[in-house]
Amino acid sequence: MFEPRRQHPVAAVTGALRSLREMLIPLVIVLFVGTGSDSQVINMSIALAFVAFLFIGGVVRWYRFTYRVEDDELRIEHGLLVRRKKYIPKERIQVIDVRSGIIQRMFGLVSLTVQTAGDNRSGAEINALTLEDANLLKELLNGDKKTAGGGEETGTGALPIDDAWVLQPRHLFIAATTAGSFGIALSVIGTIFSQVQQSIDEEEMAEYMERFILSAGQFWVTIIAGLVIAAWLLSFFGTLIRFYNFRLIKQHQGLVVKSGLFEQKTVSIPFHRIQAVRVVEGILRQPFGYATIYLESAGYGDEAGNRSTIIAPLMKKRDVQDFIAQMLPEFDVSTGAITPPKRSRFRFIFRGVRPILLFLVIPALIFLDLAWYPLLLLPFGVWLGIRRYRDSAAGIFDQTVVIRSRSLALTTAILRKHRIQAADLIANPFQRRLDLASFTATVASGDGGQPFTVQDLDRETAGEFYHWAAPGNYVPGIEPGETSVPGFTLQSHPEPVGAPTEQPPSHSQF
Amino acid sequence: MRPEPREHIHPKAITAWRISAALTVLFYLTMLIVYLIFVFTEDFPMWPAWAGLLFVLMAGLFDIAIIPELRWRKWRYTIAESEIDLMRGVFIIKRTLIPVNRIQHVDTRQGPILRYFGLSSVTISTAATMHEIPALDDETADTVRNHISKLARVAREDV
Repeated sequence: MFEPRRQHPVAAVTGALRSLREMLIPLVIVLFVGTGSDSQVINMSIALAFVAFLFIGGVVRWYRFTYRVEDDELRIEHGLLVRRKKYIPKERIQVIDVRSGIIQRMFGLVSLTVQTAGDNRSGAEINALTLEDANLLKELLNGDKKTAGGGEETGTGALPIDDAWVLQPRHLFIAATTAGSFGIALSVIGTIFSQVQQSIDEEEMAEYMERFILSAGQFWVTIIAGLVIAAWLLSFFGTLIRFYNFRLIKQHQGLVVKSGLFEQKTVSIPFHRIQAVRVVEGILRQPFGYATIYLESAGYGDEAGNRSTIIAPLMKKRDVQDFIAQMLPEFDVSTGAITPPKRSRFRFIFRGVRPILLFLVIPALIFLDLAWYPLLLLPFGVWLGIRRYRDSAAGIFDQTVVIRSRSLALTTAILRKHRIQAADLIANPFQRRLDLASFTATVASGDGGQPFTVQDLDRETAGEFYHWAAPGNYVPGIEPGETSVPGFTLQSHPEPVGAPTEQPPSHSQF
Repeated sequence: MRPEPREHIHPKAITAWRISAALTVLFYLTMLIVYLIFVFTEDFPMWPAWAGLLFVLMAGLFDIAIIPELRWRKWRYTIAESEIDLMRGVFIIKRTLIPVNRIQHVDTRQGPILRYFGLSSVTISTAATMHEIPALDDETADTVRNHISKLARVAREDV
């Protein structure tokens, strides 16, 4: 694809519609508030001229916008008044996104977005092109020259499919049901609660309650129940629409995710951009043995602000290992689990209880006339702390580290050593007193970093993890045997942990 | 357990940090004086001024007299062929290991106070994180920067 191409003419229309949407507010002001002129005719003609201008702008912009692939670069030239040239080298491209909105689908077109690491503005979007062109572009930019111009494959791109995974309808339904925007719902309720309490004056409320014969308790319960149900319905249908017809396709160079009811979305992630795999067991899903699988990749994530890509919205936990072995063999590891020592248990419990004490119990005692009922939440904090203590684990298998921890959901992250951007070893005075330390490994994700931490390991052991993170080092000290946890997602069996050839860190002074 | 990093940052950092803490105290004292104007002209209560003064003086004393020296003593770094090892923190001791082949770029920077002492800070950026070695003398800072960027170039690959 060496000669510059234009987009499909439909781009002129979608472009104009987009600027219309952006200019909607000034337009509405002109129409309804007026320009200072009393004549409705003048206002109308100004608005019409405005719209016409937008559409002419759209056409010119379509005419000026060209794209081509040359010297392994995506070269885009565009600009209405100022001519701009945007050249994106193939190596900089992290993710190529193909999707089709309603207008594009009416004409059998797609839009293609190219994402690069870091800055949002350094990416590019081609708004309307045929699927063949999009696939050709993807092929040319995805790096593997020998497959360029290869055979057609229906729908999924020109490359042969190595493997595929489909979300079962039953699992989609379960995913939607348990898509607990639990935390979000709670915080929304919290905010509204505090606002409402301030703004409603007591008489009004008493009157309202008399009318509906509700006690104060019933009143709040009704409001909270209403909010919870609304939040749940929202997340239920949101998830249904988002993951409808979800497919994960494994191709020669990477994974392709397709899903969506109204807008079908396609995300391609080349294997060499994958930074880490994350298996998340939500607090509602874990009891039923379900997990969600995420990929961290460098690039700036999707438009919803999610920095990681979901590659399996819901699957049985017992299938996870096979799934990873099939789709991402590089991340298929078995390792013994190192867990925090007994002496750290109290710290886990304290961390579970602390936010409840700080944000609920103490404020309630001070501001709500010694209200004691938030104390009822303390056992939940203790329970959470114990769960976190039991679930925390980390293990090393050759060049891979597995870090498991719980906030509310249980997260198991699998990281390759050469993807670790920085490792941290942290000990506060309380941890030092107990000879403990926390280990963190950070990988690139989206335009920032995603840290994975295991808290309160034995200081010596945490130090081994830290040492391992340096290139070329192995860990002789970690013996998985006795500390192994049976429930560790990536089964514990006492494999040797890397080759025991410790090299003293080489210091070159300058 | 990995040996602790060995290099100290420049001892003049202590004085530089003291001056910067003193300037911060001065800034808050100015704020207090502004508040005092309101006390005398607009009948604002006097006690917040006293509380503020007490707090600023206590925190200032701590920040000027005690912290800089401790901070300097705890700050260590080592630049090895394939990794950079940092250790710092007065209360919470934090060590950070940065693989050289993950480094995207290295900069030196210098504020007015550091410039007066002929010191610079080196910042090290990866695709996900940013780290700083504060207060090296200019020459060392330049050497460190050039050294790291040379190492990083040799090891250049993917993100």
